Amino acid sequence: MGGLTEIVFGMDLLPTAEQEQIAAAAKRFLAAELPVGRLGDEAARDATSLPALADLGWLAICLDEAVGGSGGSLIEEQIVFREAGRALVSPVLLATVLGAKMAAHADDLVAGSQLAAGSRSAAFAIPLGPVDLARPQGEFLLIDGDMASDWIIWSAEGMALVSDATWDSRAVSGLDNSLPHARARFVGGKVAALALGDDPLVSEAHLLNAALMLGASRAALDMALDYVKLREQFSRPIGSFQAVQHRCADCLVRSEAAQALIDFASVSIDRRRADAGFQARAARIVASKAGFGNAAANIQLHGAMGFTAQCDAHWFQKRMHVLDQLGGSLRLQETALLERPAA
Amino acid sequence: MNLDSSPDETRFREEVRDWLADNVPAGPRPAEGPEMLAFDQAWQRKQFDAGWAGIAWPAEYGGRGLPLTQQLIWHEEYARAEAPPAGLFFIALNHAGPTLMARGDEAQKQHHLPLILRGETAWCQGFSEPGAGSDLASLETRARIDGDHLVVSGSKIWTSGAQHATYQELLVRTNPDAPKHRGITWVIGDMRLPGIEVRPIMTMEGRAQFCQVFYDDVRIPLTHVVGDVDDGWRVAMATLGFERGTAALADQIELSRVVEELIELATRTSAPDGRRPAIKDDAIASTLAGLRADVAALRAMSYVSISKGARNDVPGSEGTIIALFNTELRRRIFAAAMEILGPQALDRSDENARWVSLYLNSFSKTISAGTSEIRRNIISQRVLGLPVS
Repeated sequence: MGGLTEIVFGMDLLPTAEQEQIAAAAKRFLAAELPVGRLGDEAARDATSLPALADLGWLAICLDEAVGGSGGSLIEEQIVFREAGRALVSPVLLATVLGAKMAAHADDLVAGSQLAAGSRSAAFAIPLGPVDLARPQGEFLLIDGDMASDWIIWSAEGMALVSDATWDSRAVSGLDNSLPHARARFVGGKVAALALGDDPLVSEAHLLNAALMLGASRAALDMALDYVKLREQFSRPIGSFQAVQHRCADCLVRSEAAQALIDFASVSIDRRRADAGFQARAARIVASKAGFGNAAANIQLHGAMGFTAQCDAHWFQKRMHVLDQLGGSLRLQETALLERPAA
Repeated sequence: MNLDSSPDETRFREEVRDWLADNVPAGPRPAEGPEMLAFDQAWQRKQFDAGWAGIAWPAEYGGRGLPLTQQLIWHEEYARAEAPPAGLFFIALNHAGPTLMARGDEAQKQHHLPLILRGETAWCQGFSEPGAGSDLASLETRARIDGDHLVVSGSKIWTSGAQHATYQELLVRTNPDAPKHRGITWVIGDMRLPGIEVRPIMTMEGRAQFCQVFYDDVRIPLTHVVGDVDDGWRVAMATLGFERGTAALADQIELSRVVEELIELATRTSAPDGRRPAIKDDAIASTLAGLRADVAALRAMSYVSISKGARNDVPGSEGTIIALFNTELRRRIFAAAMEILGPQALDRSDENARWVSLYLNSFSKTISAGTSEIRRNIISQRVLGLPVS
């Protein structure tokens, strides 16, 4: 039987020194400017930080220079998104980056440049039922869209970039209460770009979403580790108990599996290999299990404190539910992966 | 990060693929008995004759000394060709040989390494004892020095393939008064020596895959000690390092193929409701998709590990992370086969009985060569820096 795609290589799946510097710089910036503790603060809205992120080049990492891009690759981009995931940066970052890519791909250089510069932004409109991406209709949830001028509708079939949209909307309280949510009926607007099925942009979107989830899984584990090394019961740190240790070890294994596959998939997509779509969706599945698994473990390891609104642990769990609905839930991703030929 | 093949690597892949297509044994590997040993010996010999034995071994010891990327190509093509496992030669090729290369003396290397590569001598691993499993260093099989011999008395257990092996990696206690890690010696045990009794043990799968071995004043020449007397723990840790490094790579790559076979099985087997193929059952489909994603992750982890090896050549703690992921994944894969087979799984004469055997055997994966619990201890204490309890 066949089934195994050739993988090899002049193979190196480790980041270069330059890529490591990019990750370290992103981590430093986010720890200082967008610490997770901001999420409980009503005034903190990540959308207002988009121009600052644009100044760092994060919105245009792998765009053409014609739209302000720096000529980097998806590999650098996913490395930055991993750090953004750690900080639980709003999905407007992903929506705006995808919007810029889609606009540039559709040769709308003005929109592409403006999105890449953060002078306008996109947000996700999550469909609440089946949607025809070419002619959107029906009910949506708008996530952190108060400042958005463009919308990404992303279903299991693909993505649409919608401009000049009119919504009949009302604010609702969101599961992830760090993000404004609105329930909205699509009244009208222009589908400026489409990316369907196995379009590389769709694979890139899944991959970047997976990177956000991976970052969240890492941050949740780090937060848990900090706590179990300090918290004492029975006169010793709870991190010395095997029941606690094994839960932490499982968290690390989940994150390591997700990171390896995300790195591999990013190279595969970047090189336009035949298995790119497969690897991107597989990465998305493994990353969502890491994100959900580690977020829940972090709450559990914090004990009753983990159940409070005051402790940041719940933000990881809540954000994972938002990310999991982008492009179709885990269950839909599993169906999509199984329908593919083997990679 | 880079995955591009060089023209040399592409040529190498074609060479490997062609050779395997012409030479992989056609029939199935016998599951037990002398036929199994003969099969494994013949396959190893065939690889040796064509220059494919010991692809990871340095040329000075008769190996191919291939760079890591070419080893990986070999393993990928090996899996694709459905070539048989190293089987009874696994310990010889992946533990004993590398240990002798690292710590053996010239005479030991000259004698044993060619025998292993030519497929003449299978080895087994005499580490675990009835009272020393996860706590291996508490082993009590005693070896006293008598002139120029060690005299060994005691017992080893869970020794896979002991009934077929010519030699054994044997850990014995030479100094009962030293701290437990310091009084151990690693010695080459000839399984044909007088005083050795091998009693096969039936596994839950229904075959005698491993044995208990008894030693009654077995005299082993001191020249067969590898490394120094009382320094065997360090020698043994080197061996375990190999196991947790690249040796499991072929298995990991092969697992991708197993999941694809499972998906095929689910397309031609009825769902539990009997009204559609199993793959159309939502729960089974979800399980299979998750497994497909996880084996993709396992392969990617292997590639990351190889990338690290290519940079610094020292297997790190990531080996334990991969081993835990790999073994737990195997349990889930074969459990899924049982779910797909439904009532057919109860009949071991059925054409699909191979899956039942693999399922039953999978219970050993999270126990042998380090239980999942010990692996989680190692990860939490050595990688995550949690306090030792």
